[in-house]
Amino acid sequence: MNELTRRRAVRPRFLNLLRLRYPVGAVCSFAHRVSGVLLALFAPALVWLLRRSLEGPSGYEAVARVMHPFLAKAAALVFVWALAHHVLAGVRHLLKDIDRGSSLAVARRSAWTVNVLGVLILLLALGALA
Amino acid sequence: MKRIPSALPAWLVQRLSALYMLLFLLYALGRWNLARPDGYAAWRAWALHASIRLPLALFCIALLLHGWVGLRDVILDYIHPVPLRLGALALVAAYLAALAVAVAQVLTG
Repeated sequence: MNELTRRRAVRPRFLNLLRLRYPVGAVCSFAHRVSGVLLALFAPALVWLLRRSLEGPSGYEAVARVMHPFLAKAAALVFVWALAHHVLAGVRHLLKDIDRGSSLAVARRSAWTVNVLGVLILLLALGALA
Repeated sequence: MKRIPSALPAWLVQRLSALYMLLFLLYALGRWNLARPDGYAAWRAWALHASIRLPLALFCIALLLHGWVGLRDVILDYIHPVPLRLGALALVAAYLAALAVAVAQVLTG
């Protein structure tokens, strides 16, 4: 039996998600993925908003009004968090590509920074929209 | 699985598009802060001005490529049965293609 098949044989099959540990880097990385999917889902709405806002004065007014209802504000906040976290975590990845911040201590600190900054930017947006 | 040779590997497309989008966002943010458009006419002039039209079009292309690589990675990681996987990839491709058409209509309109 070669190394690969041996490893496959001992690979755990039923992962108990509650018993896995989530270090800060895992949270940062998972949130990067979730925010990426969210941004992809937001894209059609953004294209629609851009299109309406450029169509004419009435479309522009309609887009300005759309931002008032509670649901639109909540969606805008989710979008702001997703964009902020995705961009910051992406920059963290790019820095790792050129070998900056790959050591465990620095990687943990940068993961904390990204997670916290994402939430801070969300709070700033909350203040601006409220 | 045998890798399909391509001119640009997916991870490089992902990185280059990310870098371009980052620079574009900083540029757009700076331009926004220089002159915040107020009202329809100012907004239209701001959004369709020559100094942002081409960068914005490139941004949209980068976004679509970046979205394709990212969503493809998510599908390859979580969906293993081949028919389901191909179906999901086709769905994402159709979604992004529709988005590309909509974006092209806005940018040329």
